[in-house]
Amino acid sequence: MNVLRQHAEEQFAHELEEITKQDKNTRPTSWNLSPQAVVQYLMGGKLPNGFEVSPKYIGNRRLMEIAVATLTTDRALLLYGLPGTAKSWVAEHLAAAISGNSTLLVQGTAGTSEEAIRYGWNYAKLLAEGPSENALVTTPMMQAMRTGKIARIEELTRITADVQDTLITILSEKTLPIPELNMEVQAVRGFNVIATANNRDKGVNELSGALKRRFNTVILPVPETMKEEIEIVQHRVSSLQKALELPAEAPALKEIQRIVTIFRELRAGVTADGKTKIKTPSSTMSTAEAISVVNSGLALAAHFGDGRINAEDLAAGLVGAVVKDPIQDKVVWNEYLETVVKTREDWKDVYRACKEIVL
Amino acid sequence: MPLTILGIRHHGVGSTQNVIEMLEQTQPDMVLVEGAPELDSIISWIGNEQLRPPVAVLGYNIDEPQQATFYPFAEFSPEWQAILYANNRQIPVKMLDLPLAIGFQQNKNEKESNIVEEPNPEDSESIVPPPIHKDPISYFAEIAGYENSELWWEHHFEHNYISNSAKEHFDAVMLMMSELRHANIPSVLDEENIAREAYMRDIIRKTQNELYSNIVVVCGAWHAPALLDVDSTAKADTKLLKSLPKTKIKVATTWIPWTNQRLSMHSGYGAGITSPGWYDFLWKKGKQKDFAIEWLSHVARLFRKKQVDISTAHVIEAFRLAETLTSLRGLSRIGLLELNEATQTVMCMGDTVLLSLVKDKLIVANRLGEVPDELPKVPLQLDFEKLAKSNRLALTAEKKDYELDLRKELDLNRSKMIHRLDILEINWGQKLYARSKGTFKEAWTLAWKPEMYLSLIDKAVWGNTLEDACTKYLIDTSQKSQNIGKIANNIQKAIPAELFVAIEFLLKKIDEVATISADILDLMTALKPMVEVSRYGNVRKTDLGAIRQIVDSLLTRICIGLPNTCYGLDDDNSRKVFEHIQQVNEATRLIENDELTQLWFDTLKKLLNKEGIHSIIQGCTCRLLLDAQEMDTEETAERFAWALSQGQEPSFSAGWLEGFLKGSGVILIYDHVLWNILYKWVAELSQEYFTELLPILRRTFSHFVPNERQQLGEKAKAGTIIQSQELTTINENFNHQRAESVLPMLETLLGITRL
Repeated sequence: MNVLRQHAEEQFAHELEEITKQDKNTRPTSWNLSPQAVVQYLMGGKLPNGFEVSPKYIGNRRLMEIAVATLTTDRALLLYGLPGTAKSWVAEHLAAAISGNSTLLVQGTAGTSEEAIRYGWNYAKLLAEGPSENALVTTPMMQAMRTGKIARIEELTRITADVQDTLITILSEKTLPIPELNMEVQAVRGFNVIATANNRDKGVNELSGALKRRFNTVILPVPETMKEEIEIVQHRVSSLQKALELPAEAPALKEIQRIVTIFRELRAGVTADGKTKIKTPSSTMSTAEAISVVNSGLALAAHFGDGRINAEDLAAGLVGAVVKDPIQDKVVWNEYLETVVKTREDWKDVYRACKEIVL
Repeated sequence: MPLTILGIRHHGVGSTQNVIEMLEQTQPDMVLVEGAPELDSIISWIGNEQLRPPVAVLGYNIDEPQQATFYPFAEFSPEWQAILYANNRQIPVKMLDLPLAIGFQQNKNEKESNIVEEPNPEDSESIVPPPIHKDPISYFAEIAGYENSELWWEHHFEHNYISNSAKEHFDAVMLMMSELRHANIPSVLDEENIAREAYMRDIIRKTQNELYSNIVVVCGAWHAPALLDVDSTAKADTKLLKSLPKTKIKVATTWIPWTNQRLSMHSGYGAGITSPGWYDFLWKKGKQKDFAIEWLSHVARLFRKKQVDISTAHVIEAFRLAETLTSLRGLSRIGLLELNEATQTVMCMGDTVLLSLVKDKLIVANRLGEVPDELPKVPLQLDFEKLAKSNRLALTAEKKDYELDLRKELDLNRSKMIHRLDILEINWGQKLYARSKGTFKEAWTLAWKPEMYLSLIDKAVWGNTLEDACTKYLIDTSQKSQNIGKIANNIQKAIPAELFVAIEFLLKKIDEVATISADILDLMTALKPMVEVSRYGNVRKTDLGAIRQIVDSLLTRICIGLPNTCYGLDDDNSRKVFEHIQQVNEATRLIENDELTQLWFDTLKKLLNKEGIHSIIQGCTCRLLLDAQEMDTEETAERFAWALSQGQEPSFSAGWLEGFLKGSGVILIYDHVLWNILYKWVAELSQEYFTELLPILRRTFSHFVPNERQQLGEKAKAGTIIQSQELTTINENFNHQRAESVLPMLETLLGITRL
């Protein structure tokens, strides 16, 4: 198939199949895998028969264990954190591994209505036949309840508070009443919800106390060590490169190291050696952005350069990622360039390339 | 002669439970517990109702109390329970380790030899880096796939207490340790351990010779294999023990209250624990089936107390998550890590901030032990405890704030006590700024640390009561000193502590020293504390007349001596004097005695006109006089111009400038006359002088705040400033009559009444 991006359960179908074969532990009702196997799928590693599972989440194993354990209880899972800390990514893979289906997805926006979560009506049918099950438009949530699968809600906190509250009955009573038809849809065992929310964004709706109580919260942190972050960027870039069919050479580790260093330093407000204090920009500087900077660099190198990624290719994306606010961030970025980048002997090319881009 | 060796982890709960079981099984007629033999007599207190853990045995060198070791015990410590078991059944107990005295002696010898070796620090030794030691147990932990050895040990030996399997437990420990030792895996304490284990074996042999037939030894797991064979090692041990240093050090021991926080300290017993509160809970409740639920409801209660809404449903959910996590990880019992993760995920919205509260209050649990009153104590310690009780100051490990109103009897006594302890260098109280103004208020934060007992014992030689000890300590330290600053400082401390005998002595002493002292600088340092005392001390019902006199005489002496002291100083010394002058200047403002203040300004003027005074000091005095409005701006400008004029040596000008501008350049921003002089001076400097002076000028200007520097820079860009503002105000057609008619109204508005 020629789709731009495959669903997790399609892209990693082979891995899931192998893990299912090897999985000896007990599975909760309607789960495709045992909890241990789900954690293994996320963290990667070698199966007993030598099959290599690629890591989906690079970071603390304990966090993934908590997330999976939560889904076996009747509490829903809320993945919380800065933009770009792999919340949606983890949610997608959890759903793929547990239910074999990551598509039961409600995208949360300020305009998400109750109908998008509970059910809607096909008005033509409603008028023609009157209220009947036939005239009902089901939502991913309702489907997940009926089939005992995992439903996903992206950006939960962007949904307005009154719409959020419709989730309370679903999460605590595990039922979806349809008063118009005098019936209800009761969730089948195996149903659960994974929601993601970020705590940096502007214009978010705080969760109400009642709803909070229905979620176990796992905060996904920014990568702890430089090594971990480089690993993430490298891993993702090479897999995306395949998907986007970029002809460029594999990105040089050196360039990735430099990008990650810049991102980490600006995020932490201090240089990697801990000696120099620097200002932090208003942008989030997440790992996901580092990945996209490397990717756009790759694309530039492939289409306009010699196919090998270098400082010039990265500079444009880098500046765009850092400078989100044209006034404040520009000051921050220039200071960083002059005081940190310029002084590093082997970073001369980065400095020159960034200087050339006039903001 | 059966010899049962029980290898334990210090403070390990599972070890303790197994030790108890094993003791019941073997019914020994002698128990040997790891610890210095000097502790033999003091451990008989274990079992006394008033000795409540956490407590520690403090063993110290009688002649040098600072040389000391603590042996901390919690209720759940295997050592504690083993001794308790023996004491309750009248079974003899002895301690088993190298005597403290020998250890102290070794330390001393090392220190002395270090001093000798110092001149040659880069010996061949430093070339060989010390081998990096790894915790031996971590080899097992790594094979089992654990992150660290603590966790592995905890899961396998402390957490999984299964009743009626104590023998298997200790066999397993013994086997494991023997394997590690056979594999020659080094431990950090190797060298020390050789002597310690030899001594331990020696004690076991002696005990066997006393015909005890059923001996149980409780010791750290690592030592266990070494104690198995006591017969074939006898000869080698005797030889080794002979090589140990001879010592005459006398060691005294006493019980002191300990805190949970400090159970993690590495002292005496090498190992510490990080979660004593959790262990304590496990010890008391661990055998119950639903201990995890109880723990979580403790957590919930704690949160509720802090106004965090936590419902019973939270507890249920947290428990379920913890349980699921445990089974997901293939563990047999819920551990602290799982409980913490469940708490964080369910109750804290994933946040770690609230979890730190659980850590402080439950996992570590700030607790302070108690010791019986009738314990042998030094008199000073007794007096201190009596005072603390009567002043109702609790010796808690937690920080507690007090706001004292010194007009009240109790509060005054409390303040006195804290100040007195401060004199003995026991910093129990941290002074805070009292919120309300007024000198009768004092705010303190008190936090008791067990090692403060050590300081008390250390200071016991000075006297048997706190008052006595402080007085003698102050008098003694001042007696030896000819330094007025130090004595003045002591007075400053003695007044809030109300040590009248000491104050009287110190006043006499300072007067005496001041009269004969030729060092004006010394007098100058003493002035400020003395002035402060005279101003603020009066709340304390102290006789201040004497202090005022001393202040007066001090200042008079300074005024007389200062011009000569300043004569012919070099750069560095001038800067020092310069700082002293500033201090005295500040102090004179506080004295509020016109006559003396005038005397001081006259002295400054003298300095200004005297030949041979360093330019830094002259610049400084000029500035001080200007600030005090003792010199008008015109005269200042004149002097400024004079100092920077062509004829002066450029280095003189630079020094003068440094003194004048020290601290702030604001004056240059607002006074255009001074600015123009400076600008011209810099512009006319020849190139070689300029490079020479640059460092001095830079030093002067670099002390200004960045904002000031920037403004000065802007000004420098503009060059000399023509005094345009002043010119514009001159108006030939000015009608004075009209202008004056506004004044009465202005006065009414501003509330100024004409005199």
